Amino acid sequence: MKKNIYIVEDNEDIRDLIGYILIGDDYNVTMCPDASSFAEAIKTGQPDVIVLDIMLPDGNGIEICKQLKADQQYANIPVILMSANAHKKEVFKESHAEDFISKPFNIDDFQSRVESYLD
Amino acid sequence: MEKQIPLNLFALTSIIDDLDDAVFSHDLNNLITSWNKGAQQLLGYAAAEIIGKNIHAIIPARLEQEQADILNKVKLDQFKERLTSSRLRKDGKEVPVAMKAYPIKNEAGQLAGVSYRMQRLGPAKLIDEKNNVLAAIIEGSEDAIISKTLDGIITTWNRAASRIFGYTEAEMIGQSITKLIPSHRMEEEGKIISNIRAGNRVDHFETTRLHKLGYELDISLTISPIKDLDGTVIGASKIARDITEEKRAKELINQQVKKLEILNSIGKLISEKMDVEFILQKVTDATTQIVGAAFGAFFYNTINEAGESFMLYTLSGAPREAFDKLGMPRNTAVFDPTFKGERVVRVDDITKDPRYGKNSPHFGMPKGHLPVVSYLAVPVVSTTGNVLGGLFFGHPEPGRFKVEHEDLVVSLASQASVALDNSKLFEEVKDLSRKKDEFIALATHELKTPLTTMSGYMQLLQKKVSDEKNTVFINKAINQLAKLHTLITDLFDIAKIQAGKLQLNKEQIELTGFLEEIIESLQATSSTHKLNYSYEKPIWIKGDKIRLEQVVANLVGNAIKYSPKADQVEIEVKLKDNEAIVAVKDKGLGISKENLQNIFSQFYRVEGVNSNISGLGLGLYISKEIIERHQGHITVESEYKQGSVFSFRLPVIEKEIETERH
Repeated sequence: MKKNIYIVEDNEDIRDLIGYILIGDDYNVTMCPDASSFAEAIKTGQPDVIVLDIMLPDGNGIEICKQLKADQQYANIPVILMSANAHKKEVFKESHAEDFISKPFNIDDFQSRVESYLD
Repeated sequence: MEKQIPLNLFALTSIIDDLDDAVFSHDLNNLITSWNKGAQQLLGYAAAEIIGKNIHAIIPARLEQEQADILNKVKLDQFKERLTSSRLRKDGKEVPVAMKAYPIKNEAGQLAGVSYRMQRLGPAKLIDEKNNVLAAIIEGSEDAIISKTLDGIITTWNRAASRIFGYTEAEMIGQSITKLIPSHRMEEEGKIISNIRAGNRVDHFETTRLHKLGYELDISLTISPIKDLDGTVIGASKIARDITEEKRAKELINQQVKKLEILNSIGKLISEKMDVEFILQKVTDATTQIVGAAFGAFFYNTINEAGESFMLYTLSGAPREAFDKLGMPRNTAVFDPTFKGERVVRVDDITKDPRYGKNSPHFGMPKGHLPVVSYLAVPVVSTTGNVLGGLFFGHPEPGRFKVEHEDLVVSLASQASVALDNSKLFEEVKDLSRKKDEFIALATHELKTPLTTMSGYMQLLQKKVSDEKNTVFINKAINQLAKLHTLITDLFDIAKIQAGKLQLNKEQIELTGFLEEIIESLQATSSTHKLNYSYEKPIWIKGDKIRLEQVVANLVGNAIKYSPKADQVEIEVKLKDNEAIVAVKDKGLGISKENLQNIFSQFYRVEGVNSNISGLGLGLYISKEIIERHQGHITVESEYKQGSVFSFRLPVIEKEIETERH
């Protein structure tokens, strides 16, 4: 069965870029441009890993992650937080996210990190 | 022969009279029979008053036995030695003497009397002069000088004693010293006397004594024992200084010092603190204390629709409830000048003031108001002339507030208004600073988003292009994007440092392993230089991994950048004096002495070395800040054209065993 990767990122060009990086037949990639569309998508979907941008137009990735980790239904899904502010890394621990990627990123590094949570 | 005798006697008499020594005699009935001028000088009696009197008039009572002994010896013709003793003067004082006694025999050779030759002990003239000088000093003294017997009977009393205590010498000689001692201090005298008996001095003993008119004087006493020739204590001399004025002055100084201390501390507080409520509370408390008011308050000038309301802001010396039911003051005749900032109102008894009690509904203070009689109100006016409010003080007793209190409050009120103005500015600056922080965060995001896209697509292209020439172009673009990224990051780091917002997330780090990883990844980015890493043993430190990595990357990056002709960089970790020392050595261009001083400054770039080397000169400044925030130091040693060694030192910690979390 194909693994499900959820990408929550408001910038269209970055979403496309990630789409190209993760292109292939190994997994399904679900793109969410904001917090509310992610909330909708997660109701029906079964993500295996979530890549979550911190600065979203309608929410904050850290807060969303905290909510996910507090909810038994989602608590086990790995979350990779992503931010242009490298020092948000200082606060990612308290959100209980599994990983952190700072922007800009190396695309190989990005791919291997995401895939590392899919086994 | 018979005629010769009187002549000889005559001559003898005048010779004897001319002697400096005292020469006198008495018969067997102890009646004085002769008395020369020397005797008059020594003992004060003229020959006419003493001849025919008993010799015991000049013998101190305690020496009567000695006198009896002298007589016995003279009778037996055994008195040969010179005897030192003492004799009573006409004025009752004793005088130390040296003497010899001789038998007087009649023609029959029988003892008919005794004659004495006496000298004052010591150089008589000098002692007299000294005595005169001493007497003059004692009389002229500003301090009371009194002597008394051990029973407390006053024996001498100088002029200053009369002035200080109000009694004349005649009134006090022979009186008991207790006349001067207040009843509640009676036990002091016993203690003083027992000290004196033991031969001790009592020095600068501060106490009170009674004036003739019955009031107490603050005095400082110095009491010394008076000893006789044998060293026996026979009395005490007492120097009393009136320190009433001195004490009053001291108290006044203490009060002023206390006021100054309050002023100083309040001045410091209000210049340090930027919190309006805090400043006003402190000013209210301090001013209430300084003016000695029972209560004080600050009212804000908040104009309501009716244009006349004032809000209680801070209160000192009374609970807030005391005001709750009263309603706020209005611009009545009493309050108006304060809230209009016109002048200070200071009244000894406000209830008797013509402005008081003119307004309905209360016609005076409302029921339940704090009992204000003394009243002081000082407007607090901002530097721009706005009346911020007023400081009000009240006291239940009349006449409490003096002009000096008014002056103090006025000066504090002006200080407070400056502080209030500042705190308003500070609030604005704080707001601006918050906006700046928001801007930094937003700008970081906005600049890095296109950078992320560009760098991402370039990396995708790099994978797809196989043409060698195009790969070179793409690599150049990717490198430049990486530089752009570094510059943006550095600029925002600077902004954070300057805003005091550079946050460190410190954890325990094993330094040598941590560096090894960093150096491995840095090695991957350099094809020109080999990074040689060496260390001795594991070292634990506490630090922010991201920030320390930034420092190492900066130092190694510089080492590579500034040694274009070299192919190696040494990184060495050492442990010395409880400090970890990380040194990054290159064999590059080096730095001249004048450039070394500024190397860690913001925007500083070593000039003229190589125009191809890019950068804004922010890296070392940021590194220095980061290391110093880790309680460390960063230093550089360099020789021009030989190379440089950049080192940083960090305090070493004992590794704590991390407790497992369940």
